[in-house]
Amino acid sequence: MNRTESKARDDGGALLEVRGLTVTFGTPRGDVDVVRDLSFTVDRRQTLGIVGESGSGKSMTSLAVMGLLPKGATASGSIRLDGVEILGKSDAALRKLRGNSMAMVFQDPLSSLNPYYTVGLQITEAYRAHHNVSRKAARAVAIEALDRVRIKDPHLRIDHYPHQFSGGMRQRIMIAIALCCEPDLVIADEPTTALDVTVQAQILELMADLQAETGTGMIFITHDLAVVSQVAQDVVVMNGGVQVEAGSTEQIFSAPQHDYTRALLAAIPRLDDDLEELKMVGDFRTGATR
Amino acid sequence: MTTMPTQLAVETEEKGSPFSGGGPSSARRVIRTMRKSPAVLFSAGFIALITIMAIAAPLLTHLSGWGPYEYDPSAVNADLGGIPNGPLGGIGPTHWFGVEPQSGRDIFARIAFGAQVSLLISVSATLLTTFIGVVLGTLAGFYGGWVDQVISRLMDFLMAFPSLIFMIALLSALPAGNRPFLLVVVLSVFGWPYMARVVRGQTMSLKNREFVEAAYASGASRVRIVFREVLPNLTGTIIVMATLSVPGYIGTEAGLSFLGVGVTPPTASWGQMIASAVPWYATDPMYFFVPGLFLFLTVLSFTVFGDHLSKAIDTGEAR
Repeated sequence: MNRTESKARDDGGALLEVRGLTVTFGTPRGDVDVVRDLSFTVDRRQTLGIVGESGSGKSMTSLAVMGLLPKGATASGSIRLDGVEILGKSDAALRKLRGNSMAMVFQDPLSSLNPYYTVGLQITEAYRAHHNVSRKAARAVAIEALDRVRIKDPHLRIDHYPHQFSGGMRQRIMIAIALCCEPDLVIADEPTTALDVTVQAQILELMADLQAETGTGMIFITHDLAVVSQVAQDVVVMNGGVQVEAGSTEQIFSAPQHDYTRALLAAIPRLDDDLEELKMVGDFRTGATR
Repeated sequence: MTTMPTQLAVETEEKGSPFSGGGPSSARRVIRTMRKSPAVLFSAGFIALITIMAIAAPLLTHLSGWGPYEYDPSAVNADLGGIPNGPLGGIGPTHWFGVEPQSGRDIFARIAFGAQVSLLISVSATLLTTFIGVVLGTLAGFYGGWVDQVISRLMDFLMAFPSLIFMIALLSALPAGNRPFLLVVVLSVFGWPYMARVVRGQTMSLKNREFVEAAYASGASRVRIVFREVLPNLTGTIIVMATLSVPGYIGTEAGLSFLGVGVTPPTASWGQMIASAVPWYATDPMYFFVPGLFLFLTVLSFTVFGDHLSKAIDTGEAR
């Protein structure tokens, strides 16, 4: 893979531009907006952190961008990737984009890998879905991809099954799969939540290195504010499906404007605090779910 | 990008499992587990024996000297109503398993040719039901919605149907024709829902697994998801279900032949032999015992083998 021929065109425009995104679930008791009127942009080489508690609509936002919303959910508004509207595109057209222009790293690296196949086969599958190359050529790509995510002895490890790797290595393999087609945009949906803290640090470092290397834009979804402060330049704070605050990471952390953001920040336990109990984030539900 | 924690010592140690052992070829692992159990060795041995006997039936009867349709009046005592000469139903060097009362047909030859019929019907029915069951089960499980509704209601209907009575009625009404073929068709029509139900359930849980979502996210099509992500993970279940359904079909075929609606005479069948042995159970118990024993051991062997296969596959981590 030659990095100089990267697909990314630096034409000044934002890589991903989401305007007024609303995701609606039709239920027998009426429609429920799980994401309402959300707007943000992601630039090349930039990482946007989306923060929020469970059920705040973070994952639905990422699925809407990938065009992978579950049955019964509809998205409205506008999602433009590289200036091209992707909302409302046909499934076949979206399939061409998935993996190729935008890729996803999931939360649980064990269940995201098919236990039936060797990791090499899973990387080559993902690559061959978008590139018409021989198995042999794809294998070389896979070895390089494993090497890039710092897996030692990639030419040996390529023939191993997922259960023969540790949790951190599995997540590296997921990252290798996501990056093998050199996507412009990577959505990482809580990629470090299932990992312990030391491995988490390694994975974050690796992702930062790879991003610097490839110039990918990234959406980093998490509920961990500490992680966001490390990886993201911009942050969107979500609660109950709506954006409560957005801005640069420094701004959000040093001068939060919204009560909810302040509550989130206050809920981070500090080593020098003398606390009997952990502070709770109160009920700030502002969205459609009452 | 803010700076990250420095390289950790763990990094160098993180190796996962050692390189030894290579990939867990799951078939090899299953065979290794299975080989440890004597019950598996006996049942596999018996299945192999029956299979060889069925395939080599013409050769074996050539060796024994008596075909399945040859009458041997010298082996039965006409004065005693046709009871075989000699003890134990006429077992001896000429007739290895004895002879039929009255006609004097060689039981060994009829057992061997009966095995042919039994295995042919049960294996064909298993292949057909497995195919139909997997296709319809995957369709129902993967697509859900009205496809699932139609297939599931059809399965409910067929499983609630009094199939044995219907099979008896249908087979006695149909013209004789090619009986083994008809049996396979009738058995399959009522047999596939059992496979389909299991496949449907497993497909429904597999399609919601994260690796399927990950495959979608990397741009895989639905067809690819079904054949590359879902079906391979079902192979263990399918193999076990198929193995366990073979004895069921052997039993049903024997039962239908016993009731006189299965394989028609003079073609040999175990069930039919047991049926014709009923009037003779007091005077010539061996005529009843031999086909009964073969039927029992064959069904038992397949069941034991299938049970152990199911255990060996279930405990595997490569599932």
